[in-house]
Amino acid sequence: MQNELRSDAFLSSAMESCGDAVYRLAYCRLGNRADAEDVYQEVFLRLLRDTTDFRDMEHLKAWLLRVALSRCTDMRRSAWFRRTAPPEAAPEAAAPESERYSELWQAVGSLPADQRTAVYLHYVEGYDTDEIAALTGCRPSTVRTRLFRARKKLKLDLEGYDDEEYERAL
Amino acid sequence: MKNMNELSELKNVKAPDGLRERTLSAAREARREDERTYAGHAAPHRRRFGAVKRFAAAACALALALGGWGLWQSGQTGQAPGDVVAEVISNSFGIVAYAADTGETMEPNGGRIVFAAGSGANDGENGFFSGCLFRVTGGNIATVSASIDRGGLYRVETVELGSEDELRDLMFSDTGDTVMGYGTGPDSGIDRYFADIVTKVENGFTDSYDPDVSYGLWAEPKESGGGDMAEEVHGRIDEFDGAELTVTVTFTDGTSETQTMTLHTGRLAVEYVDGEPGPQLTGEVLADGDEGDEGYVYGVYAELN
Repeated sequence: MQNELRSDAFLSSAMESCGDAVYRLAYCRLGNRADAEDVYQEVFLRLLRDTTDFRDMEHLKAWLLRVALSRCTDMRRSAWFRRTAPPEAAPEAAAPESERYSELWQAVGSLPADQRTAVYLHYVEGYDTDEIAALTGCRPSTVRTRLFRARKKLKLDLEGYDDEEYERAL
Repeated sequence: MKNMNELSELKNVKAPDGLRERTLSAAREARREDERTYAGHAAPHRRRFGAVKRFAAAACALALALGGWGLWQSGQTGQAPGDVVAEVISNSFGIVAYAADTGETMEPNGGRIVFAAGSGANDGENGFFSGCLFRVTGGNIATVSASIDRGGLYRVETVELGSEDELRDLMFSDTGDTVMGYGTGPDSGIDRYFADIVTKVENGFTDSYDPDVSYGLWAEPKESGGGDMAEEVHGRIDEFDGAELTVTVTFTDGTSETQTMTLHTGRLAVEYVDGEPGPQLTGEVLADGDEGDEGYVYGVYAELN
């Protein structure tokens, strides 16, 4: 029996609202543009066939990011992936900002993959530790540990606003 | 970058131009293929865009890395360069330590692996489950087999359950396995529940490969002597000192590879993470008498042979 596939309008709306987040997460996780584009396409082609009744856009976004993470994990497990070159330069952006984004991606890219994911989901997408735990399939305490170690690894100043935000996230 | 909050600027990064249109185009093609299939027409073999692109990228990059070896080889054998590349990169095998309480893995460093010990149990009936866990990593692995010449091994599998009730039922069921559960609650808006199922395995067991399954060091049950518990655990840990652990994987092509390691016990350096109740391993093994910058735990590490 043929399942009804999602419409172009639905997919287009999903990509409009959530596509950039999917791409950024895949790039953060995999470190290269080609693989990030592959994951983007595979995620939305999976959405094409999925039958979940999404409550709202946040529910859809969480679903998309979980699928993206799962796909990134599958790719990372392959022997080929472990032999790829180090992360390439940042994706192209508007000219005045590209150097800035490159600096930020380099900072994130220097972290181990699991820390990188937690940092990205928290500081870029704004998820709290419980939400990140649900997205990544681990314990909230694990997320907190990863965020802590990421900050330590980046040797950042922990005074002021950043500490307050961290405390609120606990 | 001076502040983690600067990372939020990355939210302005957009997916590349044209990616949305290409994805919609792939979706339309998928719909057409479905219509052909269900209309009784023979559907062409569906090639996923992602797989084709990655394979081509793999062929190019590996050829560069090997100085064109793949292309040379294909010239000699008449194989397509992509087939040669796939053959060279297919099989790989590694072992990493796994910390169940944080979900962290720790790769070997300088031929040494440091094992965590935060999630163990000393059961007078079922034995000493050390919490010293490892995972097998690699490509094209079909089965995993392991043995140890002192004590034994156990398996830990994490399963996701549908509700808190299911988790509770599993934890109190009489399966003979030890079950530890955890989850995120309804307050977070996302409910997910997980259980770690712990099973003693026979020495030399063979499992179908699952990269998310962990294996741990086990020792025979012993009655507690009633003395200091820390010393008792140290004594149990020391039972693994000098043990030889052997892990063998069989790949999907039938070939196999074995890794052996000699276990040692000693002081493992730790650090304390804000918000967490216990110490976290740094990966460093301390010399006798060295107490480390933030302290140590007494545990197991392995030297790869």
